Amino acid sequence: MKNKLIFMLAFIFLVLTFSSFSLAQLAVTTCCEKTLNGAFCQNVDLIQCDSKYLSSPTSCDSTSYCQLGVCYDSDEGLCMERVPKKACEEANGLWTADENPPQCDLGCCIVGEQAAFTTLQRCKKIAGQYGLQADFRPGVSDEISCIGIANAQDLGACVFESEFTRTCKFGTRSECDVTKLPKLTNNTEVQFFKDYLCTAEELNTNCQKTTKTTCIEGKDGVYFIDSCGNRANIYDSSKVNDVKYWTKIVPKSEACSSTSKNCGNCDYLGGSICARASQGQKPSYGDFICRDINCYDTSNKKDYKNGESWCFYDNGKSNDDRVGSRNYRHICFMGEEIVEPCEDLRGEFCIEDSIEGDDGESFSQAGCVINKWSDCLIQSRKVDCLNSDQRDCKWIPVGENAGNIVAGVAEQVTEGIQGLFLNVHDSRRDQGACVPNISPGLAFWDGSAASQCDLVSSSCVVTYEKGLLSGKKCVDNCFCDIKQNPQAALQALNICSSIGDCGPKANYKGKFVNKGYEFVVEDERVGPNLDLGIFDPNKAKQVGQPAEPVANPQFTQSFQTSETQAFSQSSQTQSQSTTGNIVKEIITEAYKKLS
Amino acid sequence: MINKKRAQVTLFIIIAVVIIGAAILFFAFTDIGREIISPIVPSGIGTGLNVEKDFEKCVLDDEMFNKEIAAILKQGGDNNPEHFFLYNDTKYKYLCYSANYYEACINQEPLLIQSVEAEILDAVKPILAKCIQKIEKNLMDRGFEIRSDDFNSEVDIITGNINIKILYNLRIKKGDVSKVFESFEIKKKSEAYQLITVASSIINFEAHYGDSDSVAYMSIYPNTRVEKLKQDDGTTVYRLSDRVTKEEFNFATRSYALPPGYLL
Repeated sequence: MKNKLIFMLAFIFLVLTFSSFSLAQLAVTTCCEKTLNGAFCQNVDLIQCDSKYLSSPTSCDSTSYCQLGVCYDSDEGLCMERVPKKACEEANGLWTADENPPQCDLGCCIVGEQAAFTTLQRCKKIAGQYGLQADFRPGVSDEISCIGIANAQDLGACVFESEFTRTCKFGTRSECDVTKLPKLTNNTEVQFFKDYLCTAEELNTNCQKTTKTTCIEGKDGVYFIDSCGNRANIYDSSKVNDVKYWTKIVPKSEACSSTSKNCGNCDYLGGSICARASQGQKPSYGDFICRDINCYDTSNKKDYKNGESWCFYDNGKSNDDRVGSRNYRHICFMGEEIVEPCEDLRGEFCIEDSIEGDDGESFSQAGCVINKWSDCLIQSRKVDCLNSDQRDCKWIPVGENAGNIVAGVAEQVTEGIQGLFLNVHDSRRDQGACVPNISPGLAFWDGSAASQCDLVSSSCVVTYEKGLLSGKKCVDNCFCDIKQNPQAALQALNICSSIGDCGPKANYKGKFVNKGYEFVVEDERVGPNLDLGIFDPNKAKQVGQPAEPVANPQFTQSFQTSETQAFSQSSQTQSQSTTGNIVKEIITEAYKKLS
Repeated sequence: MINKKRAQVTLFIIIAVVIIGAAILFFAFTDIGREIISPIVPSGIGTGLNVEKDFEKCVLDDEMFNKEIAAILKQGGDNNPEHFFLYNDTKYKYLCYSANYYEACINQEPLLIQSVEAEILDAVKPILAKCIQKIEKNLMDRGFEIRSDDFNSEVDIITGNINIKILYNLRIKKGDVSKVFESFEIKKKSEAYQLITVASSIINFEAHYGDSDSVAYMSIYPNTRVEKLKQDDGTTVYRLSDRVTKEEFNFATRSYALPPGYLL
């Protein structure tokens, strides 16, 4: 009986030990060689690991089985980076931990008139697809030199005899080789005539001039083609029967200069490219024209050149951090305005600048950059706060130099104060608060936004002396008496709304909500009822519209689409649903706080 | 007078014989001639070209064939992706992914072209089988004896085309004449190769730097449209399309994702 009891106790102990061990193991992040949903080498919960693969309760960086390397595709000649060994092997690739394996060395690949800076195997693959021989030059160290080599090649007419007919093929000197030409008559002589076209009369070939045109891969312009299918000079309707124009190569710079229906000298960088003509755009000869690929009358009513990009802000200003607002990058490409949203919740913001060209015209370039706001609140020195190389923060001063808001009161503040805003008595920090320059959106969906807004909640003990005859007189921390000094409340609210979607704030539609904060004096809430001048809710209601909260069908406020912007349908839908949710949650949080 | 008429008739007969002879030679010994008569001569084992064309037509005209390929390309090269981001009811397969914040993504599909080829092969096999059955039935209806083995197939995505090679040993016989086919090749015009190559390059960039510039890709490949849409959870949805054929290749990445809020 005693043994049985001991056994039972031991069993219970073991069960408890193992179960607690298992639970602990479940909670620890595990490196799964493969997860159940098929992702390789992820740090996730053990429960998500595929049991057929390796796993260990550590970071993937510390495991050998999830070491990352280069996976070489011997068929395509491509090298893929940051690939786990298993992922590469399962795809039949060759994996190596070496960051620069020799098979991934780049060189200059010349294929016909074109060039590519790529691997040897890739070069062979490309050449094979075009039915040409690969000319790989491993000594070339950069792409620009490679393109230069391709452009410097001799071009001309390659004359030979095929099926007892004297014919011609236009191309490079290296292509003009007995081994590379089709259906050659035995013992025929192959001759290369540099800078000549196949239609040159003195070459006496069967290739004749035509009125047909075509687009050439890698070239901007519209080109004439001869009866043998060879490229001739740039299309110029006035030169259709000009023998001289069909004899030798005319450089692009000396060809016709307009891009009308009579000339095919397109310029990709200038905003035109060869394309098949549509109805109503027919050129004088052939079926191809120079298509204008610039953008006109875009969403901001301006015209942009092909390749230009610019920023779009919900309120037209670059530092928009209203609830639900987002930045967008607009791109003009091939005559189309493409919209790229920056990271939501102001995780990124858009910046733009322009480059002045030789012709005096500017070329606008924009990009989404990461909003480095996350360590603003812990900066105690102004100089660190404003170090734009490290972070995107702004400094809100509190003290003598804080302007007319709180000037002269900081000296009175001594002790009994807690919180970021009023930490002015701390000699180890500058007098003020470091907050994000563009406040981030908060995770409204998991209810954490309220606690995050609490980061700047502050409390202050104000001491009064009561005179024998007169009323009470403030003697300590008078700065905090917001009834006497409402500007201090404004300062506090400024900091509060600068750290995120907190405090009184407008949404991206311009609707101002004077909620999301409270002031408590001796347990009495004075919050939004306090007359702070600008926060008159009646006035605020006249501005903007509420955003529609998509996720909450019970929220029935109207949504007006008049302010919607001219961006693509998909981006628009995404943006609205997201921003609507943020607004809803902020309002919900505000109500929660005040109820 | 009679002699003159006889001479004329003789001349006409000679000319007719020459024309008929030339026509016979043309239809019997030239590819074009054989092609012209093959549909109307049932016994013509010169119908080899026709069997191949019929088979190609059967596959390329099949609505499901084109739909399956388009669906695979729209889902990151996977017919039924397991690890994906759902966007506008389409599954965007993660081709580069990190579950963690502030971490570059890990390449999930290093040999993308081969992977897409394998997916297309799986998807089109039933269609190929259906077309083989149809061709065999058609030949039998026309009086041919048929002997065939099981077929094997392979897909090759190259510049401008998706090539499908069907290794299928088909022997047809009618009367004394017989013909053996060892393989068939179907070429579907497609810019999938270009789109997948650009996708591979974007993945390499994302794995290295955490982001990519769509303008740079579009400048190098003017016919390829690159749309980049960042999502709330750190996912980036890429929609690549060919401006001429309107084909789409879509995929998702998650690289250097940023956490929302203060991570308390």
